[in-house]
Amino acid sequence: MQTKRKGLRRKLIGIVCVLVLVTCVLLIGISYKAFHDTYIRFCYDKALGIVKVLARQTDAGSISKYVETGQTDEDYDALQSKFNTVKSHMADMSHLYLMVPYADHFVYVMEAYTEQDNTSHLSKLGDVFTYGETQYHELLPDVEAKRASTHVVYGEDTELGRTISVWAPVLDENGDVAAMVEVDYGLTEVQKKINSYVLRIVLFLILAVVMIAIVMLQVIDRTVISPIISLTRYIDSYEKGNITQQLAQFGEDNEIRQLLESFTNMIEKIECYIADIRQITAERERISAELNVATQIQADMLPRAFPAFSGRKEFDIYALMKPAKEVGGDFYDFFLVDDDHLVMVMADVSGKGVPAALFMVIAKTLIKNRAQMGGTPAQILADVNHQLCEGNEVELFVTVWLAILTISTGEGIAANAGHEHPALRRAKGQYELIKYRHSPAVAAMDGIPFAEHTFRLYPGDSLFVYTDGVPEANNQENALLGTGRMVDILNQMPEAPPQKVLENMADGIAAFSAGAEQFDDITMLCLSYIGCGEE
Amino acid sequence: MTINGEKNNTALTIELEGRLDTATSPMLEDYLSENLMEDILELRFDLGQLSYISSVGLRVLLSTQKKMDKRNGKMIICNVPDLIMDIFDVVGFADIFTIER
Repeated sequence: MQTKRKGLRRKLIGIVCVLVLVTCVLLIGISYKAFHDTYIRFCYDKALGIVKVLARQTDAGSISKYVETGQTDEDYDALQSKFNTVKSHMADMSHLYLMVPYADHFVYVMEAYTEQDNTSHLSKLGDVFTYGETQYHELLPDVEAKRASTHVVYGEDTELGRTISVWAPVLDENGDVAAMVEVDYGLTEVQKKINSYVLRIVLFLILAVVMIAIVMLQVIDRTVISPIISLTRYIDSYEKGNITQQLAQFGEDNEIRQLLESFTNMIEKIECYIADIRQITAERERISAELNVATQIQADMLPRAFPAFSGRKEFDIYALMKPAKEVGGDFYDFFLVDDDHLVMVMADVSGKGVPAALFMVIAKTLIKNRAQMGGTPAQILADVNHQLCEGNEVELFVTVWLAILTISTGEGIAANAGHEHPALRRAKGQYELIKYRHSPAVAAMDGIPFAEHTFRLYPGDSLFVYTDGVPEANNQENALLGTGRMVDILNQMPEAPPQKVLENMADGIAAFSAGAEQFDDITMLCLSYIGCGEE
Repeated sequence: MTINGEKNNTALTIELEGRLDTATSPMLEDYLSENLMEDILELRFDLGQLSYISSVGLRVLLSTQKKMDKRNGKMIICNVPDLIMDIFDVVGFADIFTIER
């Protein structure tokens, strides 16, 4: 955290420094160029004025005479002294001379000199300068135009360094160019003046820019970095659990303050969400705990103590239920209404979960109570159907297989209200599905009659009843087990006692589904009839 | 599962395709609550393309049957595949529903 704060400040200082540097360089460049151009222009205008004045004061007629004869006269000397006087007053002037231009060369007429000049370097009357010897072609006077160059022409002088050259024509009475006055103006002094001026400007600029940078940094520090640090402290204090700390005062209403307000809002929302989640979690835990109890209650409702009737040798019975969710809609039941009559029930409420489980509780209770009052399966189911249809707004129904077995004889009556086909194995035989037309499911419609039929078990026979969770157990590929495979599993050990039959079936289902989620409740009951041993 | 309905005055024909189970039955319930208006007196379910029906799906058909009975309407189930017919037979709904084969 500490290094990050410093990092931001350091980065800002770096950016400001670079900006200041770039600004300085740009300002210096621009001011140098502007000042340089203006000053050169000023020198050029001054030099042009001088050569124009001198050209006008020069007599065009006598010049050709001087050049042809090589003789001078009083007028020549007077002109020479005039040229000298001008040059002596202009310290920057390197050469001031009068010459006659030709196509490829020019001839000197005179050159001004002062006492400081080394006379051996001076050109004299009649000296010839061939243009071919110079690389500065732009130095050539504009003879045809009969005027001086309109642009600044730079040259190089051995003594004075950089120069500018300016011409003015001397015209005769016909308006032709008789001669040219040229001045080479040294720029060294000018350059010095420019440099010292620019240096002063640069120093001033740097001072100003550095001050601006310092002010800027302080402003940034006060308006951005300090609030961010305060904000960080605020967030830190929240992290430490000190959520009651009030929003620190941030003075003006700016983006940082907005950030802080957004953050505060976010914290408040998060607080709300946390509270909600806590409540929801508590609720879910409560429901989960209640469901656990419900699971227990439902399991306790079914007869689970085996052997169920330890005193009875005539039959062996075993059953189990495995709900897909915490509570299920399947149930089985078996009980004796009297010493000789065993009632067996296998049922499946449509749907799953809590609604199915509640319906199952009612259905199971009604069936058992009604069965204990006596009557045939069809009568029992008709009465239960009537009671379940009362106020059955959710339209649930329950498929029921109900059989009453007379233990002494093996004779029985069964009703099948929309339930799966039972599987029967005769002694020493194989399990087979007993298919017949079923009555509608219980609670499907009020007032419907239920069919029943008689059957008979002989010693050694076994009966297997189940809910659709068995044949409709699915595997990872969503394939169903099917009644065919179910009967195959039964017939792998047809002689097995009831408990072993159900264990084999549970193993078979587990092997088939191979880890796929159990989708429906699985409930099974198996009865093995041994008989009284009299027949 | 896909549901295709066609309304013709007081008659409504619904074609069901796919599986009518715990996951898809609410779709059919929603569809019926939106489309089975009071004025519909003849409802026809075409199950030709239905591959499976679970007890939850049966419950929807059953409650629809009761709803139609209450308004003295007719509910007809047609083109029932063998597999679905077996299920109807097993749960005994073949007696409750009017089935055209």
